Amino acid sequence: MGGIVEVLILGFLISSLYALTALGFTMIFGVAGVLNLAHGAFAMVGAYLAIWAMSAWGWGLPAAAAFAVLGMGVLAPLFYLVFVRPVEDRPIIVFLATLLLAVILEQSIALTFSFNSRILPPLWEGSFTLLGTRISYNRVAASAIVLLILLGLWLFVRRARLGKAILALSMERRGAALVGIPARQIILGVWGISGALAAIAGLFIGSFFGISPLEERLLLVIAFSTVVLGGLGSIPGSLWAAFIIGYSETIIQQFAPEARGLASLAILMVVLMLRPQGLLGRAAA
Amino acid sequence: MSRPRQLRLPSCLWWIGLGLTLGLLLAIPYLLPLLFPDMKVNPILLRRWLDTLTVACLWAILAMSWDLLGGYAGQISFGHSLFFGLGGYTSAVMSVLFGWSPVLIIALGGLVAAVGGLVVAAPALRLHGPYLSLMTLVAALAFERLMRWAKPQIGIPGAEGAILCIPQCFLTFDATAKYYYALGLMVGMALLLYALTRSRFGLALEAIRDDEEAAQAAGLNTAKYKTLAFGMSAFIAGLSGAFYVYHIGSASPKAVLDLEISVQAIVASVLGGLGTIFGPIFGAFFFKITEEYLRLLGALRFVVLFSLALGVLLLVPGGLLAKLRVQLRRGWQALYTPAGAVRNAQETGELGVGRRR
Repeated sequence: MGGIVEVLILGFLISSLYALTALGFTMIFGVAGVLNLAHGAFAMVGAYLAIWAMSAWGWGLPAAAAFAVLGMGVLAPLFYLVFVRPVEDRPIIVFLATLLLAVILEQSIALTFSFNSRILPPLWEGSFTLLGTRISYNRVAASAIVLLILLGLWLFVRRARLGKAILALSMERRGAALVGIPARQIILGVWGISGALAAIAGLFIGSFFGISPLEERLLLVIAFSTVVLGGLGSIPGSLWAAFIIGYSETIIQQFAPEARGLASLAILMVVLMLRPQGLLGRAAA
Repeated sequence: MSRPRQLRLPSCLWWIGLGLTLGLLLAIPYLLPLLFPDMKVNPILLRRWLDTLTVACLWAILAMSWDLLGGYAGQISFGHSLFFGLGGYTSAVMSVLFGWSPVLIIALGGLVAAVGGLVVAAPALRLHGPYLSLMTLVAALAFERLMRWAKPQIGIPGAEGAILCIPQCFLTFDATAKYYYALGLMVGMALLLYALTRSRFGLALEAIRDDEEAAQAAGLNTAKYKTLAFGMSAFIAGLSGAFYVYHIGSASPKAVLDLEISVQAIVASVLGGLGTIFGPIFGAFFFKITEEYLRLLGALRFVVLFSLALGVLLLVPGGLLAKLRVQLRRGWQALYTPAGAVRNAQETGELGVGRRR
C-alpha cells in the first residue's frame, strides 16, 4: 500500500517536472521550427545560475531562483540571436549548432563548478505523513507550482493576445504573417519563455535529485523523448507523454530499479516504430 | 564589369596535393624526431604523439562513416557511438573467447556493427529528420545502459560493464607499426568511400538528402539506398571501434559507447566540411592533435575546440578544407593569370581578368 502511494505521488512530481522540461522545447519547435538541442543545457545553466548567485553574492534561495529564471529568460533569446538566427533556413546546420552550444555550455559550467553533482536547498522544509508515506512539503510545493505554471501557460496561450499569436504562428506561419503577426519578435519572446521554463525545471530537478553539468544530456533526452512521444509541436501531447514516461519510470524505479532508464527508452522506440508522428501529431497544436 | 572567369584548379594538382599529404602522413614517424629534438631524447614523448595520430586515424574513419550518412544521405545520426561500440565490444569478446587473428576480428567487428546498422535502419526508414536522430540517439543510449546493466563476465570484467582483454586484444608494442596499420585502414576506407560517393550510389544519397520525395518520384528506391547507407556507415564505424579496442586494450561503456564519441565525430565532420569525405579526415586530425596539444589546458580545451567548431559551422559552413581549397584556387588563379588568361581574355573580349594583373 505504502509503495503504491509513494509511486503515485513521486510519479506525479516527476511527470510534472518532465512536462515542464518538455514544454519549452516543444514551444520553440512549434513556433520557430527549431529543434533546440541546447534545451537541457538551458535547464542545467539555470540551476547553476541560482547556485552561483547564492555562493557568490550570498543571496537567499527565492532571490537566486528569480535571478536564474530571469537570467535564462534573457540568455536564451541572446543565444538564439547569435547562434540560430544567422543559419535559420538550414535545419541541419541549426541542429548541429544547438548541439555544439549544448556541449560548450556543459563544458564551461564543468570548468567553473567541476563535474560534481550539487543539490539546491529545498524551497520548503519539513514533511507530513499520508497513509504511511512521508511526503515533504517541498514536493507538494513543487507539484503545485508546476501545475500553476502549466495552467497559467494554457490560459496565456488561449486568452492573451500574445499567446494567441504564438498559437497562430505554430499552426500556420504564412497565415499568421498575412494577418500581421510579427513573427520575428514573437519567436524571440518564445525563446525567452522557453529559457525561463527550462530554468524553473532545472531549479526543481536540482533541489530533488541534484544537478551536474552532464545532467544536461539526460534532461535533453527526457525533453526530446517526451516531445516526440507526444508529437512534435503539440503542447497537450507533451503533457500526456510526460505523464506516461514519468509514471512508467517511477514504477520501474520502485519495482525493478536495475532496469531504470531502459524502460522509458524501450517505450519510446516502440511508439516511434508504430506511430512515427507521436501520440498527438502536429495538427493538434 | 563581368565577373572574372573561374579558372578551375587542374584536377591533377588536387591529386598531387593528396599524394603529398599522404607522403607526409607516411613520413611522420621519421619526421617528428627530426622536427622536434625533444622527441629524439625522449622516446615516450614520440610514442605519445604517435598514439595521438593513431587515434586521429581511427577518429577520421569514424567521422567519414558519419559523413556518408549525415553529409551525403542527410540522415543525421546521433548514435554513431552505438556502431563504434558494437565493433569495440565484438573485438573484446571475440579476442578473449577465440583469440583469432586481429584482422579477422576487426573485420568481424565491422560486420556486427553493420548488422546493428541494418537493425537501426529498419525503423529509421519510416522516420524523418529529428525523429530519426532521436531514434539513433535512443538506440545508442539503450545499448550503453544495457552493457552497464548486463556486466558481461568475459575476460577480466571491469566495473560498469567493462571488458579488459589486454593479453588477447593486443596488436603490437611498436607505436610506429600501430600507426601505420591505422593509417592503412584509414586510407583504404577513404578510397572506398571516395569511390562509393562518386558512384551512382553516392549520387542517389545526395538526391535523397536534397529532396527525398523528388528522388522517389524519379524512380529511386530510397528505402534501399538509405538501408545500404546505414549498413555501410555502421560497418566502417564498427571497424574503427574494433581497431580502437585493439589500441587501448579494453572495451567499456565510457571508452567506446559514450555519447561524446558521436559528438566528436560530428564535430570533426563539421570542421572539415560536411559531405566531402576528405574533410572529416582533416577535421579529425585537427581535433585530436589540438586536443593533445592543449592537454595542459585540461577541460578548457574542449570548450575551445567546440567553440571553434561552432564558429566554423556559422562562419564557414562549407568547412575548413573547402575554404582552403578556395584559397588555393585563388592563389593558382593569380599565378596563372599573367600568361594564359590575358590571351584568353583578349580572345573572348573579357578584359576583366586581364586587368587584375
